[in-house]
Amino acid sequence: MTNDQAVWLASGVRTPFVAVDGPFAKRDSLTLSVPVVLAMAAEANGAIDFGVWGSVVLNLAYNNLAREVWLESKLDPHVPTFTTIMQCSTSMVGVFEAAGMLGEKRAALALVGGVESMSRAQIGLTENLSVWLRRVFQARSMKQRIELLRTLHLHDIRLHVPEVKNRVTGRSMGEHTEDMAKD
Amino acid sequence: MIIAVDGVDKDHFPHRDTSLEKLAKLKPVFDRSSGRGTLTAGNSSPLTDGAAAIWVGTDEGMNRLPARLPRVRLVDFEMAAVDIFTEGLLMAPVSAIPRLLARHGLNYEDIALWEIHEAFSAQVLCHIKGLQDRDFVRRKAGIENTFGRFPRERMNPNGGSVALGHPFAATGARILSQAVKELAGLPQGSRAIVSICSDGGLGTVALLEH
Repeated sequence: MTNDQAVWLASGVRTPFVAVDGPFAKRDSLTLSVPVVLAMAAEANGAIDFGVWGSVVLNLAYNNLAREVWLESKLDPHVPTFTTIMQCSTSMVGVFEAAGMLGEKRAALALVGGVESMSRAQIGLTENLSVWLRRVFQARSMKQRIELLRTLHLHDIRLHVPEVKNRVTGRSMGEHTEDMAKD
Repeated sequence: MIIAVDGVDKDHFPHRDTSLEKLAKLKPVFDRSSGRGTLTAGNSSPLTDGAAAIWVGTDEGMNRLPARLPRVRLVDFEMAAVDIFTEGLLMAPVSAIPRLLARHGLNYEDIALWEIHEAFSAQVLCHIKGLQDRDFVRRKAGIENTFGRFPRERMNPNGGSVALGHPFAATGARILSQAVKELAGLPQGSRAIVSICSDGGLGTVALLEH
């Protein structure tokens, strides 16, 4: 580590961990994060200099989840907050990022964490269907819209359903781990 | 460490009515046909909802927190990646851990606490086997050291992600907070390794000291 000061970790709080489609099914990653961030903030006797937060399953409604959580928690809006993702390592790599950003006359205390709302994973449109719909919305006449209908390919009319699968291999972590175990 | 949300104040996991006999009867989930499948619902981390946080600070920052909060020093960290087309998807920590230990002249027995994230129990066993295989460590991590026996009895003393649940992005803060609390209860100078494997062939490891 390059930080010239000792970096400390102090234990934080968490929600209960519950089964998907269980008691937190009505809370998305934003509203599930707020009670944790508020409980953490209530512990601090002084400024929190910045915040790092993350979620692996993305939400179409926001991109900087950390900022949305901070503002939803009605904490000091002058505190910088950013989102990070590294799959299951997300909030650990958030800790490493925070550690590198601390220093004398810089930041002294960071709140780091993450959330997953598997119950609220969004189903989206395929990228081609999204682009096609945008063009339909932008069309200025019925004639243009009808012409656009001809450009729509049948194989693009489908939903993008998030899966716990690696994109490049198309296989789940479980399938990969079966291979590891057998090797 | 756990706060109540919507009247819920306890983890759903582990299932308190389970037993080794019940777990042994579960069928493989990811390989249902070869007869050699090993991963079941009982030895895989469950799909989980949850959130977790941790504090990171300097001496000055720690002075802003209540003295009762357990705290330990983040000594160093390491990240690694593997080629997921030719290597095990979740094996990156087996490269990161030896590099981190070698950088500090440490052996496995020098680590009093091991918190190894369990996406699957089989993956943890693969990690341990890899860590104990000198040739594997040499090839994958590029480290010549011999690190000695891996002390399994010091690993995940209060349960890992299979037992507790695994809300992906929250797991890092959960496992680090848990390690901080456990390590702070050990003698001064004790060290911990905290390791997480991630999809994409990624791995992150932290070295902590009380």
